[in-house]
Amino acid sequence: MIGLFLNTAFNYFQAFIFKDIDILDEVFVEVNHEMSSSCLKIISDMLSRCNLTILDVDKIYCVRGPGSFTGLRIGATIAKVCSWGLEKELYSLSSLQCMACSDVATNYVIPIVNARRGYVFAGIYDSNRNVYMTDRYMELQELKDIVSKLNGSYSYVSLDEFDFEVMKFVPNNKNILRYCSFRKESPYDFVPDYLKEEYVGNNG
Amino acid sequence: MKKDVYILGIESSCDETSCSIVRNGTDDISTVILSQIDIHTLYGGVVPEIASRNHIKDITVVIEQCLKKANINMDMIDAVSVTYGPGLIGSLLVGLEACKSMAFIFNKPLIAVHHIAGHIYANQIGNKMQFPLMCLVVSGGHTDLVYMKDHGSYEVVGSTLDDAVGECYDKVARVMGIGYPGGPIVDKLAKEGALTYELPIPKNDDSLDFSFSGLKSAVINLVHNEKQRAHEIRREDLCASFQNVVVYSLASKTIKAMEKYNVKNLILAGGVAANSGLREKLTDLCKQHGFNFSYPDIKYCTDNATMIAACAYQLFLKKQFSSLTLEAVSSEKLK
Repeated sequence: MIGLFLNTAFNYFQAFIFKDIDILDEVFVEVNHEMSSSCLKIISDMLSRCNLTILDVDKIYCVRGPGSFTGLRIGATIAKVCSWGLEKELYSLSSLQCMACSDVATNYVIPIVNARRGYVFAGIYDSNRNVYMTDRYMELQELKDIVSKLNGSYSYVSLDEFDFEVMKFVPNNKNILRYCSFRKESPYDFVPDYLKEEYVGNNG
Repeated sequence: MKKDVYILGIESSCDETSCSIVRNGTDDISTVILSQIDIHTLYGGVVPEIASRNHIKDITVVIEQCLKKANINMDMIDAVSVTYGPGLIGSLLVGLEACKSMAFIFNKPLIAVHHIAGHIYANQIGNKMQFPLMCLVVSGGHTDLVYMKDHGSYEVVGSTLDDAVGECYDKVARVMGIGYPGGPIVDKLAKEGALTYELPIPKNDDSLDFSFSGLKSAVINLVHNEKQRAHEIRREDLCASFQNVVVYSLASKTIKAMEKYNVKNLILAGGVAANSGLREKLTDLCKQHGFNFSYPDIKYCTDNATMIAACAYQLFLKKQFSSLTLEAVSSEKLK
């Protein structure tokens, strides 16, 4: 079984191709505002390096969020259309659980994304990356209060900077395959999980 | 015998998710449009984030429905095309990524279409444009006079210096409290009204440029002043007076451009091309001046993918294809 994994939730593009439990090729590159122009070219190059074509891919895995709304839509659109067009199964997973799969040896892992104005997207996972606190959009202070009551060691993981110690997210794709729970999606209905309502400002 | 060319088009630049299959640049084989207008009406205008979220929800359904309606599969499609801009960036990106993904998985040439070029090519659907021509592009985001010597050649010879005409219609409708989108409502009420309100003719000069912000402000001030005096506004009359000035401005500059560039063919494009007052005025003036005048079917005036695929046909003939690194742009002049 050949799988293609995509994560466009942050300002880095994370992708890997795997066969069963073996990683065949992987990338983690900073793309910032060039997510749209980068993704498909990178996927195409990765497949070429593996002597594969997109037609060889059996299952598509895509991060559903939370994260950059625009980034999530780019990845989700690619995943939906590839799944629909190739008639291959589509699976999603949480971007925070993906982040929690970093090499961390503490009792708890806390993936965290700066959502601005004192808010964050965060979840709390145990050492086996099982959900301890479900992913949510919350005040940073509220998260700190919950974390302060944890019974055991913990590490924050993020690509953002905070005024407390945070481990930089470095993907461990084998851990993702080992620990993550993937949700089956329909190529017709799949949408990102924004975890936050759309902002409707003054449209005048 | 020449082989037929089938092009699939995708349009998602604002609040319509659309897919279409067009044969040889003129025949609409199948078009599906999913409009979000009911959602955005609640807010009195398009909310970009809501538009983007709805595009991604609907995109594969719209593409599949279009193919099913045409009763053809992707093997028969010669190229895929998409609006790359201008438009709302979040909305554009969904259509763009979908189209690029289709080009990638089905190994089809990818064609990038400028949204306004697409609107112009709505005139090619079921018809053939005669060159040289002048096109009056009137929509919520654009008010341009475009001179075309031939297919794919665009020279913008006049443009709005501030608000687009469609935007002006929306703002005027909002201040009068008559709903959204403003164009069709004002057009309808204008037919029942009389020219009783005096409004300034915008940019009444020899240039080919337009201006609508002053007119918009004049209507807003008029409504507020009348409210302060506890006078009731007769909406039909204000709509008629407003539309009369808008149509005069658009039509007089258009005829001026036709004469200056010595062209005999006039076409209309964009959402405001559906405006009956504008169509009637230009029909009369073109008759008087001996010009040929045509405009798209009303269903091709608002955003749709048929016009994108029709325009893409000309680029297909020239083999002007794009790569998978194609980016969306929120604003880009037609060139």
